[in-house]
Amino acid sequence: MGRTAAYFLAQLKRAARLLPGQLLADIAVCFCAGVFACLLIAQGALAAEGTRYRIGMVGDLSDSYLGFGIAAVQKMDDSRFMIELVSMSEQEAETAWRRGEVYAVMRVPEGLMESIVYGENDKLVTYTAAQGQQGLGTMVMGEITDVASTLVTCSQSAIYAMQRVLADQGRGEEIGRETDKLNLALINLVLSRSGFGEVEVLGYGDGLSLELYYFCGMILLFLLLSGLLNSALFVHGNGAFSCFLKARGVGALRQILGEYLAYLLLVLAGLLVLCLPLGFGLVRGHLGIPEWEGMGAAPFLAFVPVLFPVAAMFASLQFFLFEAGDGIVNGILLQLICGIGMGYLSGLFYPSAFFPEKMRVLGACLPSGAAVRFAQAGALGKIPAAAWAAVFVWLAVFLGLTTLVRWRRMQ
Amino acid sequence: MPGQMFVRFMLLQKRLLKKGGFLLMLCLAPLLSAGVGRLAAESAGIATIALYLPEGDASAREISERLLNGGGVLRYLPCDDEAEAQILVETGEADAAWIFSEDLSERLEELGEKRRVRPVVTVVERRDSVPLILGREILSSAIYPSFSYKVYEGYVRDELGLAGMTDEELRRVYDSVAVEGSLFQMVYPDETPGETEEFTYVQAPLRGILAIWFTFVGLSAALWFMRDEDRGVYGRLSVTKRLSASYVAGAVYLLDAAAVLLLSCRLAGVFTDWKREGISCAVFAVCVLAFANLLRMICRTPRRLGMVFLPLLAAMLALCPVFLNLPYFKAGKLLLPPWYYLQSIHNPRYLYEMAVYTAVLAALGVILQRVQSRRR
Repeated sequence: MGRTAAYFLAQLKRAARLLPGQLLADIAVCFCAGVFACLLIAQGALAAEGTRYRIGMVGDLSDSYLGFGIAAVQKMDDSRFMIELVSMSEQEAETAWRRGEVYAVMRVPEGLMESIVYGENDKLVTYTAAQGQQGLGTMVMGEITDVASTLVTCSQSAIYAMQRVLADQGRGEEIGRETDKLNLALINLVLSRSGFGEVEVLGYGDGLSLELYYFCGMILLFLLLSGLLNSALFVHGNGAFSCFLKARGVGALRQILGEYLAYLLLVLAGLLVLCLPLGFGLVRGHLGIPEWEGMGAAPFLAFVPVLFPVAAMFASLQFFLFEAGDGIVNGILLQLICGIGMGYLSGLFYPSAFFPEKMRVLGACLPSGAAVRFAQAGALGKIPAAAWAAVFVWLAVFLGLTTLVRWRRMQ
Repeated sequence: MPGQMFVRFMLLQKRLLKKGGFLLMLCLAPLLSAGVGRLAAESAGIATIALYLPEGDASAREISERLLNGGGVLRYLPCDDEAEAQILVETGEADAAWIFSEDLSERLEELGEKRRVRPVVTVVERRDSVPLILGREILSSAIYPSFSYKVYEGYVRDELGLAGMTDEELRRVYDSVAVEGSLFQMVYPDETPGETEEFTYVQAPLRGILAIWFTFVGLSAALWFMRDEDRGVYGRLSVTKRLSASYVAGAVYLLDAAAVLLLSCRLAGVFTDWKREGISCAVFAVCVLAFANLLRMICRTPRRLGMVFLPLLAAMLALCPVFLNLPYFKAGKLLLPPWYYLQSIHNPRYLYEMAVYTAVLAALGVILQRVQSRRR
């Protein structure tokens, strides 16, 4: 026992030497995360105000119908809460797109309105939205354009059918007048289409708000990837030294425990550094978390200890990956692919509710999934026994596996 | 000289492929991609909607077909009755319920005749959110085709005074002139239509994840070189020749990783075509090589380089279009190789910019190498 304690103290000294550099890196990460969080909040605020997608319109906008359509979308239509149309020249649009000032550029081809009026619909409005390949935003944008397209084509169909009926009845002279009347009626109906649904908001709050979800998610992601920050501790790993220690009576399990506890303290130090700006942000009201609104730092101070078991579990996972990677280089790459992969599957980037059922189940079974359940339950103040069990089972599994790998290496 | 470099390259490759940890790390990327690619085929959505439509109603059937067969970003849970839909919302299994009125067709007919919009659906939501606002737009557009038909029917009978026209006649005329298809088309900057690529938003971030992983393979190679340098593996090489040696060592890692990157993109379902992918990947690999080497020379010790990893990863996740495409910090984005790679897939302009950036990085590497060797 004494030798284990001595070995632990030696490891602790090693970890302490890394601490200043690690704190600097922590501050850099906090800065990045802080800026990122502020931008997300800013974007969320914009969404609440209703200008989520700013779209540059270029091309032939001279047609009065089209001008009216754009004005209607801007001023009267429900879609104004999701998109903002800005008319600009090709050059301006290109510059704005490259600078990221517009989400997409929509190009209106010449003769679009004639094509629509005559029912040919052979001119397509093209939009260049994706920077890189398509993502969630582009797909949402696709849904919005599908909605717009359905509204236009169905109105067209109704008008053409009415015109055909009049023509078949030999009442061709009435077509113009009746078309205008039906057109106006349909425009009016399109603009008031939100009235099809009677909305009833239950206001249930047993789940987490999106703000608290991502607040927990960002802390967990930091913990999950903190192995990269602490990789310097594994730079001078030496198999021969492990054998020497064994010969001196410190076996694989004792070695792992000594090293793991020192490593855990390093991870916890990183966590506390992260918690300082978060706590400050909460107290000053910069992080608007509905569940903790107006309660100051108290709920957060109660939440921080909840993260310790999760930190211990992630530290054991990282420890195992460095041991299994057989060297720092492979260890880092394993940390990265496992961290991002697990984080993605367990909903640390997109909410897990966005994923297919099987993927959600898989994500929940992973260590990161157990951590998410534990932290989310902790944020709401009630952690079920199953969540405790899952975290400690994974912790034990990783420590056991690490010991096994070390033992095999020493043989 | 090139012969020696090739021999060194092959020896390093042999040494690397003997490492179980390296092979494990290489296998994990395609495993993740194949797993997500396969699971993404299942139904998923940014919001889950419990859907109750009355049985036997013609309009309800049409709306149901539009919603359930249209793909899209919402997930639907069809319910047998109104209560079931409500319970799914209350228990949190669904974000909203769309409960259509029992006499949907009659209601739409009545509203169509009067040319008025009134509620035909009860929308029950737990909490209002951006996906549910979008959902309500999708709901309106699913109802609108049936409704606009009823408006046409009512207009012809009431306003045009043709009450004698039968339902069949009206339907026949409507179907003969019905306009179909979309008025909008998404295109990439290289004019490739968006619909040529069929993957969901669940698969979309995989290319970005792989690009970040690839960058870290390059950084790990730099770390590997530093460790070998510490061990005296490159003791016989003069300091000025170390830069080319580090490029060779990095190329060994990145060659294997490039093959895995291409394979993983294919397995993930985000692959475009061999020519485009091959060129982008090759330029990206050289860019990562130059980037990792410059960072190695700036950090100088493995410990310092290791400490840069997490802040760098945080910057890449925040600034590269992996999960979100934030319109901020353009200057910061320009420093990150994955940003160029992700943009270059459908925009050749970024490919050239990546090549220029690579040249700048390589030149800076040479200058720094000379400065450092003079100091020694």
